[in-house]
Amino acid sequence: MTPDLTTHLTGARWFGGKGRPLTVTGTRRLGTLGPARPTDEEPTLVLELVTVQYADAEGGTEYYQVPLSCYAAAVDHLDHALVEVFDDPELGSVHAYDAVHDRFAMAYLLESFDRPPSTGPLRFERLPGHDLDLTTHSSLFTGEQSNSSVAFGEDALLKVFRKITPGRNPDITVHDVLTRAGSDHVAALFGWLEADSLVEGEVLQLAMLQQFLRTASDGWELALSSVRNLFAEADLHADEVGGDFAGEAARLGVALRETHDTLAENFPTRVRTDAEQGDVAAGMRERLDAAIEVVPGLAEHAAPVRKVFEAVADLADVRVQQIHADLHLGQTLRTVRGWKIVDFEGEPARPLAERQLPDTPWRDVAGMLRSFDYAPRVVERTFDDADPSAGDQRAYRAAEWSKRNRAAFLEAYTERELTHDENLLLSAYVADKAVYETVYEARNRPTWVSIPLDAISRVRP
Amino acid sequence: MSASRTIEETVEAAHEGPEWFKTAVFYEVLVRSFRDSNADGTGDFRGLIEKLDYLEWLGVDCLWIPPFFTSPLRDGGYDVADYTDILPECGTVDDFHELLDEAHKRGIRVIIDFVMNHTSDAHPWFQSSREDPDGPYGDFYVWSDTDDLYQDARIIFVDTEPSNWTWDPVRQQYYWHRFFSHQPDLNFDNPKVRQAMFDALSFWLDMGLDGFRLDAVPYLYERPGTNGENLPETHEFLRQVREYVDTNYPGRVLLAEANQWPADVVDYFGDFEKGGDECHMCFHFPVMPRIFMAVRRESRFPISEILEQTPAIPDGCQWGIFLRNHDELTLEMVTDEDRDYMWDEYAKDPRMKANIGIRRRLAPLLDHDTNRMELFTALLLSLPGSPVLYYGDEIGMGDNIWLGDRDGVRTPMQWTSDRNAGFSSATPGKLHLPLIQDPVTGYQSVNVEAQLENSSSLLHWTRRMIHARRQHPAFGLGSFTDLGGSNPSVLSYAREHDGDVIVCINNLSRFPQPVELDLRRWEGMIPVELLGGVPFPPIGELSYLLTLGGYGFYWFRLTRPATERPTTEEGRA
Repeated sequence: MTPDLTTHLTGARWFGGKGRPLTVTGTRRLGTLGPARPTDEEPTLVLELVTVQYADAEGGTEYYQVPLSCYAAAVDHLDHALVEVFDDPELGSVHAYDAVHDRFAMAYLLESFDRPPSTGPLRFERLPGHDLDLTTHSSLFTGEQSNSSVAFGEDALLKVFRKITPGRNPDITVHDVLTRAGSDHVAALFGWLEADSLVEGEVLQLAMLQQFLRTASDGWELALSSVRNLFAEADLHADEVGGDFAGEAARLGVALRETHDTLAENFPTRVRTDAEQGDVAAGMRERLDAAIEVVPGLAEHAAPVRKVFEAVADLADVRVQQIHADLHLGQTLRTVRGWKIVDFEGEPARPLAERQLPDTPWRDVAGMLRSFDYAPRVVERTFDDADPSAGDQRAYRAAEWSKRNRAAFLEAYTERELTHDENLLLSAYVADKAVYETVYEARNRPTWVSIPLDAISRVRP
Repeated sequence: MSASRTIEETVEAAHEGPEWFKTAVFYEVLVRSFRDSNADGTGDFRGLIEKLDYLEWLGVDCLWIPPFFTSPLRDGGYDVADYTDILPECGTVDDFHELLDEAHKRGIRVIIDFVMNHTSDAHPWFQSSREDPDGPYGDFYVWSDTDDLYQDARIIFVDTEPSNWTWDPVRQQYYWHRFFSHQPDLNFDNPKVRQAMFDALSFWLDMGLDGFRLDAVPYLYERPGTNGENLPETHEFLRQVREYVDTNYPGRVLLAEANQWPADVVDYFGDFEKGGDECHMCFHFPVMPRIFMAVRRESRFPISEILEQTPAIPDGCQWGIFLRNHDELTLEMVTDEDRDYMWDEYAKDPRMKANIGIRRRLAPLLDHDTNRMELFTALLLSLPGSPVLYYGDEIGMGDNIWLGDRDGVRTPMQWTSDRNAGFSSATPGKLHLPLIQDPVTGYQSVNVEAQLENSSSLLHWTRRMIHARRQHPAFGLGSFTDLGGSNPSVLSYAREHDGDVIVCINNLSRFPQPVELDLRRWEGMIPVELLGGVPFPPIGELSYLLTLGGYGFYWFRLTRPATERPTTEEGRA
């Protein structure tokens, strides 16, 4: 019998179809590692691919990877990760645990990256230049949303993809290219795992192994601590306080510019046709119209935004290339060796084919500018004081922080004045992103809607 | 831990062996400002001897005494006029000899400043050299008919010196000087000069001195077409000095002052293969401003980054680190335009620029905030390297910014609230520098006597920290591992030596902070707080969660549980 993974799947944090009616229509064994039959001590690792069919109006099929560490008997210290107990035709009666919690099962993967099996249903691809440290234990990262990441000591990080979209994973593709190009701004790719079998005629990429970034801190957290530092000073401006972030913002700007340059050198670039540019602007306009339906307060600021979108439609010579496409401070890591950019998967909500299309680098820049605008306002919202004047004061200082760091980032990114066309394009992408945010906030955090609305009100044609 | 030795024996061996300097706590003391024994208004060696019991109580291992050789004192004594005699106001050579004996009785070592590069123009060698070019000292200095040579050498004191050459009207030649024009550079190409240096070193080492801080070492030689810094000839001479000291005076230490980036300074340790064959110790200059910057930014990266960039050093060597000393840290000397972001950050931040540029003491730099002073001292005592304390900082002494030049941080030590702060029984007007009198740090409120009476004083706290450090050679000898962690405002690191694991966690922010640390490599061990001995929950399979108060810190020793349990993973590599 095959295990019933429905409960495990729908209860998992990484499952994307929460609340939707679904049936699991198939479970497919992509491969196994370890002994042919597990013992009490030695597990067999099986990689299952679960097919989910949605029964709602939206419908559709999704695939999820479920790696199971199967033991012949119960293992006490893995109790919290138990998935199923079942009889397997090949493995016998097994206790199956979520394998990312089990260092023995994870060690099989690491060893296979070190010495890839020459045959079999699993392909372990490696990049040259790094000897894996096999003496390390794995440990699962907590707090991750859509995938599962496991660190091997301080040497390597294995990202196990959960939702599998048939076809090449852009995160692997981009890291592969940037690593081979010697980029300083990403965690080097050591290798990745593919299944030999195809689904929908496409390859299945299951996991990627990367350099572990020791002592890294989330750029978002670092920015928030800078803002808190500013708010704690009663009478100093953003450029006077100890926690000034402008230096970090500028170094982030340089990191992004260099990353864009490397991507442009190593992926195809081209100039958008007039028709394509028109479509981009039309898309922005449509999103604005749709957003006004949801957030009526947007209407009063819409006129200048429309003008920007209209002008953008006529822009010529807009160069497009491989970009990050979902960039914000939370996708950056500060390490002792400078800033790194992570997660090149593109915008996860979009279809894979669309995610890999070249786009203008200004879209990434706009994402960062929006993030610099969010950081102080998120901290601002953690305060709750009776005196409204304190709130006004903080809002003023939040705006000051945002402005200072946006400017420092942009100046370092461009190293020059923007041309009229660049300014226009950037304004359009900032506005488009903020329009998306108004809808998101209106639905999820209505009291936050003023954050993107303020940004939209600043847009000038 | 090696089974053959008890921890006490290990500690003892670390402090008594030839590598004592690796675990030592240094204390920089200005003789003239510490204690005046003869009521002439200036501190002296006999006064310092009177205070050795205090220093022993504090837990200091080695004194570093800045220049006291005979000198016209136009550059704080770095302008030496006699390498084998002492400024009369400091005492006599016999007094100094007695200081060494008395210090050694208390287990305290002594090192002194030694300026090799140049002398004062008042030195008899220079007077002889300028008057008698063909005499025995005619070739002791670097003379030239023109001022064209060595144009690639930068001028260090650009504010006061237009050139590294100055015309001597007596000899009718130019002489070379890397520093002030009243400090002519010695000619190290002359073997007699090198011999004279060996003779001078021996004079003090024969007396029992424990080592030298060698001043301005990068500049000993000059060669056309070079910047005259870090030349191979300079390193060769330092190797000779080291060999001479090792052969004749084993266990004595050479500490180089080379105010440069760690990656360049590391050359002054010498050959890696030989465990270092030049200086035993070098100052690590950038750590200090990084600590200030990290606390100001509430970010661990300024410190983490510099330690990451610090190269490994030979086995027999050690860094010296400090928070403050008698000298200004001239940032320019470690700046290399685009080499590093720090200096850029400093330039942008007026407060940091001023603080580091102006000579201030630790307490006023930290707004007399006890929490911050304790955090800074905890960092100094636990980061890799031997810490150098500056006299008076252990009681939070203030400074006097109205005194000129560097004198503001060289005011007399504040022993009591009595007249002259117990420093001297001279008429107050006779004191060589006035006492601090301001209401916050004046000697009436900040003094040793009062803090001795109060067991929760900064002084007692500092002593407890020094003594805690002393029990764990890992602080001096241990490896350094940055533990990173979830919170960018919290700097955490492990120091490991011979099975002893010390974990230090520092909150660089004024706000309370949580931190999640990955300590799983020490799964099953129990962190015991070093000062209070309180055991914390054992390290498990998950991240270790701690909270710290504003500017709070912990020092933990990781211990095995009392009853050793078998690990659950036997049978697996």
